[in-house]
Amino acid sequence: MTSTQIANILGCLALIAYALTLMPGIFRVVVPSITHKQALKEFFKPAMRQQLGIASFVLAVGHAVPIAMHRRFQILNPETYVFYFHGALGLAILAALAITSNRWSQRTLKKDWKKLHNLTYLAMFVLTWHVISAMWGKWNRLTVAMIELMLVTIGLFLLRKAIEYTRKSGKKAAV
Amino acid sequence: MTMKLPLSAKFNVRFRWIYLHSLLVGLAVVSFSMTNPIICDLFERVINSHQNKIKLSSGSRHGELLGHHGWIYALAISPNSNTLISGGFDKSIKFWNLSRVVKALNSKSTESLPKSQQILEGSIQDAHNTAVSAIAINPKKPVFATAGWDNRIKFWDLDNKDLVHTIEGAHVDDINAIAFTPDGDGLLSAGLDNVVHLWHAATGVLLQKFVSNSPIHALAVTPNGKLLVAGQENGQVSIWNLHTGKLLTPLAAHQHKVSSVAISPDGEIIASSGADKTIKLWQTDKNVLKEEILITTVACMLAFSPDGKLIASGNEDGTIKVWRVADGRLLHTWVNHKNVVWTVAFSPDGKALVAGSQDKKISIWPIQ
Repeated sequence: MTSTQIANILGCLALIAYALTLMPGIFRVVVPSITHKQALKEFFKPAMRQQLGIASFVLAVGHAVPIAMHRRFQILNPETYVFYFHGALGLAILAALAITSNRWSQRTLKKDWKKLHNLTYLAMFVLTWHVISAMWGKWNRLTVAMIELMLVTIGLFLLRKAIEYTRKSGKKAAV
Repeated sequence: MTMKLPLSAKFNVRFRWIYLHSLLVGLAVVSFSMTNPIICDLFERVINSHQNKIKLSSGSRHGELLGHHGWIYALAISPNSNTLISGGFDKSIKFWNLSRVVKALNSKSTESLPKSQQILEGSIQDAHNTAVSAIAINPKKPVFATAGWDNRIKFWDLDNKDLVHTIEGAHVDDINAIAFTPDGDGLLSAGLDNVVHLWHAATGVLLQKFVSNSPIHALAVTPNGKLLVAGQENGQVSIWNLHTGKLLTPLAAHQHKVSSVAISPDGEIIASSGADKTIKLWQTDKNVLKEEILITTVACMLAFSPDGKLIASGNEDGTIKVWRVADGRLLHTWVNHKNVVWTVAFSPDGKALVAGSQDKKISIWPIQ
């Protein structure tokens, strides 16, 4: 297995970890019954979400560094970030989320913490764009699987938003 | 009644965590990087790229071609020295009238050089799905080949610029180098998947596989077509017998990645450059080190002049250096590019040296 292939597998694992961080929030709204399952209790704890977020960032770094080195990217050249905007933005978001994934940040930032962590939903689209763009023309089974994963995640997220919107409008109408 | 916090207090609350976290992460990164050679190498590159921005101006009259929208990774010149082909990160291949620029550069009149648009003879947009990493021109037929990070090799007609055929999935990873065999019947390709493939150029059939123990960054074939030389990430230069497929010599050439290999036109000298900031000249028949040139930067690409007397290097600090092969003496240092010079090539008639850079420019230097 080549180093780029290993880097790509790390990228896939980063995506899986990232998608898992979104699932508790989605399931709570879309399939609320699942949250009471004893077997999944740990999964729905905020600590698990934090750990998955940090793991996602670490794996993403493991994905980005070898590729940047093989492809001879220059870190101080602004064009690197223009040409690889999706990858750089995705990594920056994951970094911001990982760094603030702790109670101290949560307590210090209060409402701003929530605002900051809304970036996780932007990352969903940015990372999908990154996978499609970076692998364009040389798709393999893993690429297809990752795109499917991201599209399913986006679909579930939109469903969650639709349900929340319906509930909100229902409450307003009741008032 | 609510009390409003002063602005400075708000600032403190909001940004205290940023400051502390940055500090912690910074400390972690620095301590990790000090023990990690890969990260050290990365930092060194960062410093080099910063230094590149400071350098200015050039020493002699030269031509400049602008037209690429991305970093230029590959150049090749047709056997009659008329056409220059360039490719890079913008996925396009461009064709330039090199002879016209060289003629203008060599003329004694002070008239201005033709503009890039006047020199541009054609372009193939989206030649590959990702960056074009290597170009090679068939020495016997009007055909050229391109390789890309999309793992494909494409063969094109040099006259009408039509696609002749494509080798899909030529490698399982990025292709870094391609070279035609001297008889023009075969094409060699190598990349990060540790393999050199020999293809039948006309049909795209795989003829032979040369397996290495490390990703390959550079490739060259001796003029008699007997030896294949590959520069590897582990610092080795491997030499295979092209006919038998036997690995003859794994030279422990460099301490770090071999970035380029070149073979002199008489086939007697192999030149290699590495991330250890050296250029080494080896005697092909004895595999003995003939000359070691220490440079202050990494030579990304080496090229021998057609008479074999000069060797040029395109360097990470944006310079182009020309050395005398006989004694390894530095003859010229040309500074024109603001960033890494990824590729250099002498025109087959020996009248010009061409360089392609990360700053999206191609520079053309007349050789007296």
